[in-house]
Amino acid sequence: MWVTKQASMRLKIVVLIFFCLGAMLIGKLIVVQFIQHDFLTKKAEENWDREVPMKSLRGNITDRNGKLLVGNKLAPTLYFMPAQNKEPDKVAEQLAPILGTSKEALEKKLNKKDFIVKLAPEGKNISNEVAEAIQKLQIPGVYTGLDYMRDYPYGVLLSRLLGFTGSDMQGLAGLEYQYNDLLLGKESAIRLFTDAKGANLPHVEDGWKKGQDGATLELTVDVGVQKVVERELAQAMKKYNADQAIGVAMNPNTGEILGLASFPTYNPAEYLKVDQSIYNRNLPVWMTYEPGSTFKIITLSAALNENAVNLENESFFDPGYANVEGAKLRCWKRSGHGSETFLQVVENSCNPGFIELGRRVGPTKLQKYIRDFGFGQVTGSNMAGESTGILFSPKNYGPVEHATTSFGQGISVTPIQQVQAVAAAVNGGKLMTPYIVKRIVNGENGEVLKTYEPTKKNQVIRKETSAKVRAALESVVANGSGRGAYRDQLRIGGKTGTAQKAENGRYKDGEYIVSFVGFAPADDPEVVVYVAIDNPKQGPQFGGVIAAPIVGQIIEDIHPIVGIKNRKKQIEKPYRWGDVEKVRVPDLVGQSKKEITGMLYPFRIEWHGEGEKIVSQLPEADAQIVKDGTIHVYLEKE
Amino acid sequence: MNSKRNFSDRFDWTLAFILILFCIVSVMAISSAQMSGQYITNFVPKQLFWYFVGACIVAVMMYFDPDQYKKMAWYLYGAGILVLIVLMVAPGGVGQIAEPRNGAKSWFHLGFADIQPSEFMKTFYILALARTVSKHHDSHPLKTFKTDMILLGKIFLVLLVPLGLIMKQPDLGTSLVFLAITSAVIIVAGIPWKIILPVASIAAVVGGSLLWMAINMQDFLIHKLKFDPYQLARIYSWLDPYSYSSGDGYHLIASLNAIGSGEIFGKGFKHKEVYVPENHTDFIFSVIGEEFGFIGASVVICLFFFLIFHLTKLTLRMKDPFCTYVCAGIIAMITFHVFENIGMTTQVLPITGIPLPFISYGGSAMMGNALALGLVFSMKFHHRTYMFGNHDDDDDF
Repeated sequence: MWVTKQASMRLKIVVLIFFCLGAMLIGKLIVVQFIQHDFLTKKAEENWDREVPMKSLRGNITDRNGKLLVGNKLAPTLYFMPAQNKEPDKVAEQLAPILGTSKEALEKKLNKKDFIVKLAPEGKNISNEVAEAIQKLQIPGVYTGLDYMRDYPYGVLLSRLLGFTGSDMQGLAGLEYQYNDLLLGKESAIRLFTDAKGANLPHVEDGWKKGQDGATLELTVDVGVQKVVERELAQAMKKYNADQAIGVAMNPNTGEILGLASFPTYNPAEYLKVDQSIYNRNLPVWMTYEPGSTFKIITLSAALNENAVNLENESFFDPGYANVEGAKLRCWKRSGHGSETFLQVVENSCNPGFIELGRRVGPTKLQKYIRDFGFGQVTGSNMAGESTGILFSPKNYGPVEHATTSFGQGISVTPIQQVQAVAAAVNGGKLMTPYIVKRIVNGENGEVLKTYEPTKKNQVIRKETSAKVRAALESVVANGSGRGAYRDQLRIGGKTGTAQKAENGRYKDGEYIVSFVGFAPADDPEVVVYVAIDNPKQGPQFGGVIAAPIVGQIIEDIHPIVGIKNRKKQIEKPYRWGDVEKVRVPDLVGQSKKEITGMLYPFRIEWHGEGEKIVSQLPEADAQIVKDGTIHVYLEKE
Repeated sequence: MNSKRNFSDRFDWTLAFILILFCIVSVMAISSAQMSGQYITNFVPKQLFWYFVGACIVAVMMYFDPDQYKKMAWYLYGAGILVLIVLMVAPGGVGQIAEPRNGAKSWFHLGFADIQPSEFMKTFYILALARTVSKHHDSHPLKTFKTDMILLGKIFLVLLVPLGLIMKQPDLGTSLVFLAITSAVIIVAGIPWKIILPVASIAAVVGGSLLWMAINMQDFLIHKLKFDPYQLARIYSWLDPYSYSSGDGYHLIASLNAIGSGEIFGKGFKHKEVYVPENHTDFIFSVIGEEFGFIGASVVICLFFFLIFHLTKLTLRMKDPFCTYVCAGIIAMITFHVFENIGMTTQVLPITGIPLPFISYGGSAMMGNALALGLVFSMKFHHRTYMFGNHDDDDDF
């Protein structure tokens, strides 16, 4: 027992020593808090040096080539330390007129029981004049510091996809919201701060405690393509006084979205000024409407894949309507197209002709094709807010519904579904999932965190069928309703669409969505471009008149970006009355001036330089120019 | 005496009550501390989570009785050493699992939490030490100068490995805790004063003269005794923070400003004005001192007195020497943590990064302390087997 007894004794001694140490601490506290407190309190009041927490840099959003779409910039920002100023109402009174906000809102912020209050958004990104005016007031506890804010080098470009962040750099809409966790950096702190008496703003590098910057989001979008699409849509909005406009450009072989536009746009830096229906709706995936004739591509693909029709050699008679179960379904051309081949049915977008094609495929099979082409379900593009659209349920799918579906009426789809389906129809039959984010990259060292690869969902039609569809659609542009999209040597194919807008199950009188879906080149498509104009109020409301030329122009302008080389073989566009007549430029290089002047050409020649020998010409040989246009020829002495 | 005692009688309600008080103090202090916004994280729910984890650890530990801990002692000690060795050899590059923080390789970064193995090692060390001493006394019923020296030798060996590993991290604060635990156990183990006092005196003289040399003979220390100037800087910033006001000195000044300006009654909850970095962990006492003044700081110190008093009372009832040594080690561990931590915020001791038990934010510290108190709870819970004798008033603690 000696062990236990001695241990108890000894333990008491140990604890006694410990209690002495505790008493020592209390003694020291007395010294610090009673004797030294005046000195220390004074020190405490002088010492306003501190670390201010900051989110690390939010990740950038770039296009496919690394061009910056959304970045960050420094913004002078007001901070307030409530502990240093006991009269926040006075501060609010002084600051409100300078910042141009209400006193009450400011006072609420200043009264926050916080160590430091950021006066955002009122006091964020203030101008130098404002900062100076505030410094002159010398308000205790008010400081000018630096904060970051989002920067949009391209302004409104792509804004309805990108979304925006709030004043605290949290993503609130669009990709900024969807990928917020990735874009957010890890916390860091900045040790800064001058007093309000006007010392210099410190450098950001001073005492910067590094967190981790957010990841960079690399999109599949190409800024060059996007600019063209938005420019064309902006012009159309104005020219036709339209309500909305939608544009999508996609690589049909991979599903990468190269351009995605919704109009009207807004400036993400000023999101507070626009209605949330603008920034919360990414139209190409959100909006659903009756596709109209663009949908006929699906019927055509199904019919060709089922070998139900020979386009060149079979003919059809269109009296201007078709009778289905006693219902009279009219062709858009009331007088009818008369006798035509099925290729002409496609070129003319003839409704009774397509009812016949649909009938030949059969209701069950056509329904299966439609679902195989991705309609009635989201595409999986991974863009927020995607709609599924509405198809007839098999139960409600009678002969009339079958007939109207064949030419694209009575159903409701999204633009992205149409682009996905048309891409599959022309790319060899592969249904590719559209996607918008290409890679996610570590914002600091460029390490690739995630790569998104093209995904093929299924094979919807055979390769040979797809080639026939392409040929027919090229013919639509060269000879038929899509003539407005024709561009020499680009081999554009496509299909127009005009659909009446529906609201609450009823068609709205006189309101149409006109659209065109085009692709190029027809022998090996590199791009699919879809454009829809919602409720144009000027001119004839036809897709062929309004949307086709826009798609033609877009493809013409983006063809070098997406890597389309000019084609030699193509379907030539026959001249129709009213077309601007064009002629091909002959090769004049190497000939002499005398030889040329002796010939009769349907254009004017402007001579440059002196001499006899032609060394170059503009435009070059084989390009098309307007009849009676001018060719510039450059001469040199021999 | 009751032959059948139910759970309610065997559970240490007093200790649980003290811990709940600590939890309240901790949450209040952390919620106020994080208003200075050094970090964006809200630590209050996290600390409550760690308290919950601690309660679970205590519950699990109460399942085992002290006899089983006696048997487990060396395995736990061995496991702790193994983890410390793994930590030492683990990759310590930027972003890797054992990336050093503030120059010390003391942490595993596991994504969901950072774990500091030395916090657990303290309790395992106490178990191994108590086992060594109690076994020694069992096999050497007759105490002689020789057996005492042999015991000291054994204690030294048990101490050597963990202390070496922790000093290598380097973690001076935790190393000192190990020395404090060892000293307390040596005294309680019954080593005669005639051995302890000379050793303690020598240590005091050596320590004192090194300190004197640090002030008056710096060249000699650096050039002849090969001390690192960095270590001296720590001393200077402690003794004269106003002249060495970067790093530790800055930290000490800020802490003193905070506590000093708190005066008697403090500035009130969430009314602190001085920015002290890391005031939710190691410097949490500065928040208490500033906002609740001398009164609040004293209350917190008294709460610790209360805890130590209760643990001591409990220990004095135990008749198994193993339990006594374990409790002595635990008391020493907690006391030294408190002394060192409050001491460094009030300029009594130089700054070493160790937390205030039960109050500073931190998962590892909380789990380590829960392990230690779990042992105490277990001893009280199973005490019938280990506490016998002529006490009739078992229920009064």
